[in-house]
Amino acid sequence: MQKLLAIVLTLAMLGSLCATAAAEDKVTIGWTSWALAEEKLIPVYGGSADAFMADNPDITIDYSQSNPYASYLDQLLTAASAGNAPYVAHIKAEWLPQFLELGVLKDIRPYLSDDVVSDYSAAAIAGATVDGQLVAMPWFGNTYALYYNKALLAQAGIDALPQTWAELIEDAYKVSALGDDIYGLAIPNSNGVEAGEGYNVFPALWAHGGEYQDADGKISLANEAGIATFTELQKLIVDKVSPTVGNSFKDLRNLFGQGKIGFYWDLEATIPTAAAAAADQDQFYKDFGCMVIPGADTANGSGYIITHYLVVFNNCPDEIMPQVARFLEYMSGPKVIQIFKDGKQGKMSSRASVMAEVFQDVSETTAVYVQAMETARPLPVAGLHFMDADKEIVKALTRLAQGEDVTAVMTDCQTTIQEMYDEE
Amino acid sequence: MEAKRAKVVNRLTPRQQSDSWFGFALVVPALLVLLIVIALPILKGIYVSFFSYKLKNVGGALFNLSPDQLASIFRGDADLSSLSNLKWNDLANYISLFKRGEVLHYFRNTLVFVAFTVSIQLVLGMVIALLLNSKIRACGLYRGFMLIPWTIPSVVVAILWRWMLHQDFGVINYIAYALGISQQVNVSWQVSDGLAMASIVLASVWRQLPYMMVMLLAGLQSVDGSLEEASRIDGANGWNTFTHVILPSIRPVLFTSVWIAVMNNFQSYTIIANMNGTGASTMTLSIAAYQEAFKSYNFGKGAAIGVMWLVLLFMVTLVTNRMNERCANDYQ
Repeated sequence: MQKLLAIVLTLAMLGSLCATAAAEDKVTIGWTSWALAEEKLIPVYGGSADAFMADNPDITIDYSQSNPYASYLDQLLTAASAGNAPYVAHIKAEWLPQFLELGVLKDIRPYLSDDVVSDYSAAAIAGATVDGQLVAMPWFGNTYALYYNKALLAQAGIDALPQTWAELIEDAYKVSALGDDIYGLAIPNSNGVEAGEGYNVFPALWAHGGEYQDADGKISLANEAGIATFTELQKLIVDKVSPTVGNSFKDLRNLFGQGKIGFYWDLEATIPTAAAAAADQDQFYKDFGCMVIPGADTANGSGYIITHYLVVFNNCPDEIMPQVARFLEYMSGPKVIQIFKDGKQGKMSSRASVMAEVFQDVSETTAVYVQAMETARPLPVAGLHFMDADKEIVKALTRLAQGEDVTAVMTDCQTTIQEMYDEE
Repeated sequence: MEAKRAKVVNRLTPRQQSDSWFGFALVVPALLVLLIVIALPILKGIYVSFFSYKLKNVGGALFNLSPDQLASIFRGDADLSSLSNLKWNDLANYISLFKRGEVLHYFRNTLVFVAFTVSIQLVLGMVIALLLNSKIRACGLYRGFMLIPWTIPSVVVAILWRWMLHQDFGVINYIAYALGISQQVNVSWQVSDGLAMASIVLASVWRQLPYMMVMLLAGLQSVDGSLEEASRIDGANGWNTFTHVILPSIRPVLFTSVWIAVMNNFQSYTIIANMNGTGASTMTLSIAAYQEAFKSYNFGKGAAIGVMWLVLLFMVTLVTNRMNERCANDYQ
């Protein structure tokens, strides 16, 4: 009996060794995204990795390490600088300069197929290329479209959608005249509680012919177009056509859901959030409409696009880079973008073949976002201090809401941002 | 002769000396821990505040020493300035803070916030403590209720008050409008500097009031009843008894409570950041230091704010201690 037990144990031990050897043949790639820390997004983001593993049984994607959005960047920068970050990470385009500053990103171009790279728009590849190295894989883009409340527009006597920026402002005033607690056009400003709100004014700036930076790369918020834009924004706030300081995007979604906002721009994925704040969701969807943000003299103006990247850190061994490249190509391919589309995430690809394959047959709302992609502009995120500049724009909006002189405020704002950029 | 005698009296016996060494040895581990977790980080903070210390410097340690460099240090022929991956920047961190007047703005906001928060909670805490110290019915129940805000995490308090004061959803705006205090229903508590500061003071006082109340109540309960009785017999009214008997009796508790409250509020971050974010009107030293160091990743400038903050607190501590000593002497 003892001998039998000894043989069984020996066989079990040998078996486990063989299993370990087999497991070692399987490559494991660590991958992280803040979305993996959000329960309702796991089916989409985790599901994408699961789909990859199902199609590539020789590779395991370990997506167990994730941090919520609020602490994600800090944690990832710390881990990357210490050389123990997951091999692949999901980042936003505006964070790229910080990782470049750390010097922790791998050049992925040698590992990607030419077919995939050439499938991308030239602008998408150029945005992720630094000193001739492709330091990030453009994954998807979030673009913005203008939500509107059909019921409020009808009450305000607006029977045709605005075709230009000036018409939009005119209609916003008509809507806000419906009541003290009704806003015509909402622009978020949580006073810095939430990040990334300053650049939300760019569609207004572009509609006035302005630019964040001029051809020489100098900050140009205090020129004629900038002053005209911010004078208009100040007037909207002072006239109570737009909410004053204290409303984040989340607040605006609630207000829109409650039927208190005529127009504001937001992402496709946030429509259900706004609907959740409505007393009657069916009625919300009946009243809901969206259109491309109008420009100076065109209905097809420009919203902005927030590009999301997948980056590979230097701690990833070169030996497994072919497998990592397979993962990157798969994630930016049609199957994963289809998963995002089915999950109503509103993510669009910069790859022509993916857009053609996935977005052939779409809903009326998605069609607007696809159309918005055609004119959407990338954020000018190249500077290390872009996010600091964003905070300065938010501060300027708060000062404008307090009634300060537009030229003085914008000159201060421009000087401060320029000094930050000059420090780099 | 006296000196010689004193010398003889003060000399420790071998047993006492051994005990003394043993006692010191027992304290050493604690001292080492304090040195590592408190003294070294403070020294490093002061050190990096004089250098350009940004993300690109984080990749390596503060001093990256190769074996060759280490050997050259021991030989005494090393160029010490080349050993650090930090670059001396001619006090640029401090200059930039003063150049734009930023630091004065942060100091002013911090002092206003601390002064209002501590004084309001002191006055209210004293009133409530006096009420709870009197023989009122269901005193224990009230005391229990009063403690509730203290048990709520700061971040929850911040979000709670942010919603209550929200421009469009806030119950306080609604009540103010319904009572005719405000002429408009959607007042933004963040657009005006005064209202923004008032909102964070309000939330902080609400959160910290139970602490002050409990401390003062403990002090009041230790006051000798015969002193109060004697003052009444001598014809003192309630106010005189309070100012001349009760306050001096609880002075040590009062000083300690106020001092702890001042320190806590100087470091206050959670409520301010979650209510008003990086709004200029409520940008205190703690918010500014965090923003610079961990949002803009300018660790040198963040450390410079921290150093000035340290100096301010050090000076306030000296003044307070001196005042406390003087008052203690007056009382004796």
